[in-house]
Amino acid sequence: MPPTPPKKPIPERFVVAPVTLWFDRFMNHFIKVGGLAIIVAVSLIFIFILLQIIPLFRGARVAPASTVSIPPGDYRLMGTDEWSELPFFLEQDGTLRFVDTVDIGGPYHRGSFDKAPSFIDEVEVAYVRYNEYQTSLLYGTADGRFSIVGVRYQPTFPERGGREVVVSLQETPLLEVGREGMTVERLAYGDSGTRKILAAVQRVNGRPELHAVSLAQRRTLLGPGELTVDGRYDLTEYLDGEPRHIMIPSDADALLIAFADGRVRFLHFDGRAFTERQVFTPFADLPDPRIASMNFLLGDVSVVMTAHDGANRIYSIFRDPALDMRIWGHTKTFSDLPGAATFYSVGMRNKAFLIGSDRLASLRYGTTEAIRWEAELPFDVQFAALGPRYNRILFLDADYSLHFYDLHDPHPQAGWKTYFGRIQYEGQATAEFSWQSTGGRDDFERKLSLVPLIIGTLKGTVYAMIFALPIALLAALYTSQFLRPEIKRYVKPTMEIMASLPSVVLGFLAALWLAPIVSNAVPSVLLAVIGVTIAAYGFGYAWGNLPQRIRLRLKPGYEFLAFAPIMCLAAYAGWSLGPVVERAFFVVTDPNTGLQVPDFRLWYPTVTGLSFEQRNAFVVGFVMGFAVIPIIFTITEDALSNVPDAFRSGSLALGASRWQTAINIVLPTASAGIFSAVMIGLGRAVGETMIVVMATGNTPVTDFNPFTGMRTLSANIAVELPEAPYLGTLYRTLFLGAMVLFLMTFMVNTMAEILRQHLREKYKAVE
Amino acid sequence: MTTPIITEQQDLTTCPADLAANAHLCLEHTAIFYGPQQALRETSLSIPRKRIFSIIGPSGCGKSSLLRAMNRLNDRIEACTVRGKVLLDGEDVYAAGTDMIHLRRRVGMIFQQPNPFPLSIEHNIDLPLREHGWRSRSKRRERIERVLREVGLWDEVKDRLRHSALRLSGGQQQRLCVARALALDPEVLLMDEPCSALDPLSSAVVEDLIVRLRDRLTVVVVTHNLGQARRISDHTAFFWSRDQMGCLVECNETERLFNAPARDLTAAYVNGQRG
Ligand SMILES: Nc1ncnc2c1ncn2[C@@H]1O[C@H](COP(=O)(O)OP(=O)(O)O)[C@@H](O)[C@H]1O
Ligand SMILES: [Mg+2]
Repeated sequence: MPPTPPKKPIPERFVVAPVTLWFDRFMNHFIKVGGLAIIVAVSLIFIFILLQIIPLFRGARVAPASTVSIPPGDYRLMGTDEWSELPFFLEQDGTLRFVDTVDIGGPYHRGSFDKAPSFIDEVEVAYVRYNEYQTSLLYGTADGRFSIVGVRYQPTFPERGGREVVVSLQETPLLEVGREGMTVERLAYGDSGTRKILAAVQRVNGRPELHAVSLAQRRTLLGPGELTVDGRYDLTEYLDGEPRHIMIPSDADALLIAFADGRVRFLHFDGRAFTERQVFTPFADLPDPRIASMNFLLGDVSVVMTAHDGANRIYSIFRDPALDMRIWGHTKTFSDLPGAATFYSVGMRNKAFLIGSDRLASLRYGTTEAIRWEAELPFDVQFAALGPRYNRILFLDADYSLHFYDLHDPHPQAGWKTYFGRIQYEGQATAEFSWQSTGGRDDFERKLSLVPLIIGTLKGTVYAMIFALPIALLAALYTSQFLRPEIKRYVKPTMEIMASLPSVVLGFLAALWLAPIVSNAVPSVLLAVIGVTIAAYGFGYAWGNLPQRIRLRLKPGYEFLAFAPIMCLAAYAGWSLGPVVERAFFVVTDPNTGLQVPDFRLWYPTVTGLSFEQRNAFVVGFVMGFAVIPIIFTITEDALSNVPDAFRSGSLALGASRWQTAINIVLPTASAGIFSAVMIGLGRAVGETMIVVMATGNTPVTDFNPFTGMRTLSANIAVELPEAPYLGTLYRTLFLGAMVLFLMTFMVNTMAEILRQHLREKYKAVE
Repeated sequence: MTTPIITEQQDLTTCPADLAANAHLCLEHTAIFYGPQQALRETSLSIPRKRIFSIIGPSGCGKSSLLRAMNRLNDRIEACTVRGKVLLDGEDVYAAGTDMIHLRRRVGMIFQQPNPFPLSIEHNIDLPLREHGWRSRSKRRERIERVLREVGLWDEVKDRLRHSALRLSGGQQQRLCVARALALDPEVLLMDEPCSALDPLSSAVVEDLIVRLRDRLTVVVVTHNLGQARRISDHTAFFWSRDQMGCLVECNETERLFNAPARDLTAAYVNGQRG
């Protein structure tokens, strides 16, 4: 190997100044760091949003916490207080055995103690039913009477600190239910506050009879007064089988009777009489249609049923549009349990319920048909209770050990189906995409489908683009290719000023000024738009056919001088024709006065069946288009003007007209840039918030009707954020909306970039 | 060396009378202005039919401007005005009512920088044909093939007609531009330094192509390559610029202009002493 020659020092005159080198290096790193910082920042935002939404898609976490031994006994049922600290077990004779489960071994531990209603020494308790919402027990006696016993849990805060739940019973006097002296087999009770009804199955000579009473409670100055019976109904005629379950919802307007053969009869109670509404067989399609269990879900609008083979379904009451009547229908289906449900507990905060068969326990969510948690337990379950705060689960096993499980499920309603699937919410006749985050009632269930918001976003974007695209693109084409440069000098800055109008101002104008005008004169506006369009084409055509002599009067590039007045005229003509057309075609009977009036606002809903709102997509499209036009215009104009002059000269020298040159040569060559412009405009329209918030009613709709408003993802975030509790389901859902918006724009941008690269490659002007 | 003074001697700058009779294009007192600045002094010239006419002269003496005046491509330049007449077959192209599309169809142009459109090779020729109302696809294809053969490009590109024209080499691109112009059957072809952006080999190919166009159409070619002007053209006009203004110095049959220039300036230029 030849020795490398010694490196000669670089002659002085070739040495680069150190400052230049240093600056070069600095800028190099500076740019690198800047670029990286942007990528990192975007990724961090992405990760942050992701972290906010991941909990929405987790199931419930359930873990064993502790076990407490319970005095053995033959218990009818188990109930618990709000904090799951002082559960009770109901003995056969009607005594409640309370078991203190906190501070075991400590000085204040109360062990277990009994409480009983006063009447149990005198009469035999034949039936007890527990209402978990009201923590009340419904006693039925062997001599045909009933009593409602409230279990009043009261938290106290003793001096030693902490919380102690004390309990007392509140009982109503024993009242006759129907047939005197006959054993009460089943009871059901509903209390809406103003109306109370109670139904009972009694056995008379071996045959079941069904009786109902309506109850009244006078309010006195000293609190609620005596409960008295103010109406009696003999419903035995409705018993054409052996009744297995009877149920009355808390609204006290219905009575459900399930028979041994699997039929359910629905009687409606209007305050005075019971009428039969419906008979249905929930499991009619199964070989064994008998109903094994039947329990209400929170709100008493849905009934969770299981069949003997473990099928688990929910029936809900909703207004059937065909019958115009509230009837029960099959709304949800869950996966089968191994057998008939042996325990059930209802969630008191949401539509969750705990159901199980022998050792399998399953926590299910009524609305979404989701199984939040399911496990095979290491013991046989006698009773189970879902903690009223939805934070604990209690199981009593066959060996009288009470197992406490911690339940962590902050977002039970969330899930793919909630956000993107059709859901039949309670009271709805069909499965729909709906968003409604707040409602008037306490038991209101949030509807969180993002689909109406996505559709709203698309709707706003589509209408904005329908309006903005043709105007912006054609204006840019005209400005760059046909307009005289000296006029062009003024057009571009004007457009840029337009872009700098704050969207709040646009939204404000749209809502308070434009929307009323447009809604008062829809035909005029439409005709004006059509008029201008026709005038534009008509003028173009006519101008082309005019003799040279006349055309040459105007220098090329000044044609707009002839065109502008014609366009104004056409717009004016369209506007003034509006009322005429309205009188001719849009006449409708005014529902208030019964007169025939020409009014598009009334005509549109009656003819199309769609609604008409003053703040609608048409107005939003118009104003949002106004916000988008300058962006698209400026970028498109730049792209068109940047087409190398050689192409235009070449085309013109070949005898192409200016229009042919613009369309065939300039437009394709600039297509990549134009595409970017459109996409940037699209991005602006998709993310635009203020205009939509102000210029629409923000109603989440799922249609593209131009005369209704919409709610976009971005507007939704702006509108709902103040009402979303920190880290709550709604809060995280808004982040999910943000993520969807992010992904939408990301997808649009990525697709746009790919297409743009493709176009750029295709029409690469300079190598 | 002192600058030779050009005197206003009309006889030297017009073509011989016998040629003028056969003139296809005639400049009559044509002057070109860019705003207030005159770029070309009043010039009269006759360009004979179906011959090759070359224009030589240093940069900035208004050759391109003059060429652009012949097909009114100057109209695109806001500040540019043309005085005098440019007669095409005796009709002034600057007369009111001239159909620009028709004019440019008759007078084709080739630029210094090859400027094929960013389309496919086929589409480059197809598009102008369609723009001029050639409806029949088969006829267009026929024409495309014919002109590509004429410029000697057919064999080179017949397998990749759908490829982008921008992927061709510079020489091929320029020949494509010629083919594109020929496709419209022009009477006059204006060429503004068609070879100066090309390598010598491509340049020779294009030069051969120009020679083959003789007798078919009138070619006006601006060139910096004196040898080329001498080799290909029948007549040559020599322009010079003084005080930022171009003027015609001498116009004659090429042989005469190069071998027996009437003016010292011409002699100095063609002998490579000036310019
Ligand atoms: N678009 C233009 N605007 C203003 N002046 C121009 C323009 N084009 C050319 N000129 C001027 O006209 C003169 C002649 O230019 P040109 O015709 O390009 O000369 P050549 O082609 O002989 O080099 C030059 O002085 C140049 O500055
Ligand atoms: Mg030039």
